Amino acid sequence: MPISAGYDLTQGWIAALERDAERLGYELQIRDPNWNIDAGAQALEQFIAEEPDILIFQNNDMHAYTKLVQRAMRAGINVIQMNLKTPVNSDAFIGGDWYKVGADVAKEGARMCGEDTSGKVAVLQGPVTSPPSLLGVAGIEDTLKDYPNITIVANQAADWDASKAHSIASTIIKQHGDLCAFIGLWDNQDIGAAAAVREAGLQGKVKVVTEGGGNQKSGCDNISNGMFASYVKVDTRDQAKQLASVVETLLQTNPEPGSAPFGLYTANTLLTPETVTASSCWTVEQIQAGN
Amino acid sequence: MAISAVLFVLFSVALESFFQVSNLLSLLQNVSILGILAIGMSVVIIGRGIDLTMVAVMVFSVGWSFSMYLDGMAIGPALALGLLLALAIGAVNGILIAYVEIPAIFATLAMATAISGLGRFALVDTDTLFITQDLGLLGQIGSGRLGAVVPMPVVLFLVLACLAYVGLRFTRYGAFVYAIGDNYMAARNNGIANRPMTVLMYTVSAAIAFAAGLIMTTTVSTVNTKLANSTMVYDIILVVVIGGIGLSGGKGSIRNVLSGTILIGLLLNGMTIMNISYSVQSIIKAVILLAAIIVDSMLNPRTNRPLSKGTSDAAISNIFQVSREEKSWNSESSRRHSPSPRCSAVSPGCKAPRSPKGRMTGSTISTRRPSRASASPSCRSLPATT
Repeated sequence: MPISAGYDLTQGWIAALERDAERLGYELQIRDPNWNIDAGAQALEQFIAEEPDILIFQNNDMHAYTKLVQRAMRAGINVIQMNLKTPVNSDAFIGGDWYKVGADVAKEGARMCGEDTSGKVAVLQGPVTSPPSLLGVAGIEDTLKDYPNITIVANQAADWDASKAHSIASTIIKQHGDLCAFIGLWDNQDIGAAAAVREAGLQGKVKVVTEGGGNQKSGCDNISNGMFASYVKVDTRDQAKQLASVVETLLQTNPEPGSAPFGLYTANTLLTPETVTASSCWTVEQIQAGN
Repeated sequence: MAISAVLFVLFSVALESFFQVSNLLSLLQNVSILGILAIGMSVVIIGRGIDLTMVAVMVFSVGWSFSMYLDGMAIGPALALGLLLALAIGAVNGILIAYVEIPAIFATLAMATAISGLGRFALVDTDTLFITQDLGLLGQIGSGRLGAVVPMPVVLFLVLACLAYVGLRFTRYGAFVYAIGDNYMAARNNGIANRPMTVLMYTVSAAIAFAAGLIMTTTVSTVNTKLANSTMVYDIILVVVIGGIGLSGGKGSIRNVLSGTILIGLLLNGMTIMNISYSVQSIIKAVILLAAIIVDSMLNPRTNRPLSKGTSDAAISNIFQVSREEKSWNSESSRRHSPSPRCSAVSPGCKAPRSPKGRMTGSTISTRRPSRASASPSCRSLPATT
């Protein structure tokens, strides 16, 4: 059960699982709560009642599904948490290290805003309760303490919404004419800030540093055309392969739920217009085909 | 407006860089989509309805268009199909409310969920569509500038506001919307085709939602269907209500939408400049919405509206009397619509004109815009039969 089956990260994970389900002969059921935490909790309860061998879910909020994870494990179901971890350990966690993602985008922002610039940066986060925002902003703020020339002039939540990011960014640009960079936490959202920068005729002057799963359209295309100056990739293609492997392993070993928890933290990779290549990003079709 | 003026002065004095043309244009641009949606919502609310499907219609009709475009269809036919979808949804909304007689809030709430489900299932398979191709002139709708200064979304907001203003104030259909919103039963008894008019209102709001979606998409080069699950529809209602359009219908004008939009724009712009946190922004917006609704309830008490109770002739006479007083209709314009002096059919001795469909009812009065002539002394004293 993803947060939503309709965006690049989850489509990538599902593509890998569908490929393996067909190859190895296991059954895959997907329920889509479509960003709704209540619908997600209901779907998880339903899954627990149906007692699958493995329950894979993506958390929408730091604490929303904590008790359901414990209940699932007590019911003898192996649980894999994807990308956004709850405070409870389950059999496996696969996903980004969001604090480190925050630290890495902050370092990129600091790199772009050196001595010859104003050093002013603005932070764009998603919903304030989502793990990437909570941990990512902490990583950004902690890291920027080491860069005294950098000042955070604004820290605003754009709700993972490009149009809201556009509105916030255009206001900040007007207020801080010498802004050096926007530091954002998701490419899908930060494309709005990049559009505001382009609209203001400041492309190249105001940098947009962001993070994403490395989808071709949202990531590499926007890096190549200069919308994003730097991009911390938390590769969904890698996560999809790891997820498929962990499912395969758990189905064979069938361990006591939660008896040997482990985490597979996705490595961060930096992409810039200078370093991006044809194979830096992925499409769902490529993952489906195993490429 | 007064609150907006106070905020404007306060921000101009207190916030550095607030009072500059580029920031003020940016302020307007940032709320122009909200303002456009509020125009559609206000048409429906003035007709004593509410349209909770506007955001879902916006993202999925435009999303479907661009989904087809990205799959290879030419942009023209793709947009035409998306617009047709929006119009069809609006018509279904109107039919459910007018003919099946489901209360508007429940009908559109259910429809919003249905549209989101259908949209995700059959129309747009991703939450975010990236428009990577160059849209050429079409792209200028969202990102262009008139005279290299005024952002196009602001221009289009003002154009749509003018069209809606003219439509509501100077056309027969606009008068019908006010009449239906003021007193549904009296409007029906006076020959207005309430049901088709209700369908038309929801169709207009859906068309406006499509236009807002097109502008939003061409501004940020993405379609974000997640918005269908957001609280944006409440922001639209917020704009309408704090502008002063009563939720009980029949009152308000596009000027209210403009003032509501400007107030929200000032708030958002000021709060962003002051770097107020997201949670505090939500609290401020919610407090303002509540205050606006309380003021609305005090100014337009629902329990004390004789017009909502039915068909008394006094009420019927009142409907256009109220309209004359509140809307200050232009007499010249009225004469255009009402070439010969008419009087109310409920007045003794007056011949009742036919309704637009030629249907006569026992208490039919002119379905044309009431003219000053109709308030002639001989016709003003109406019998209070019930």
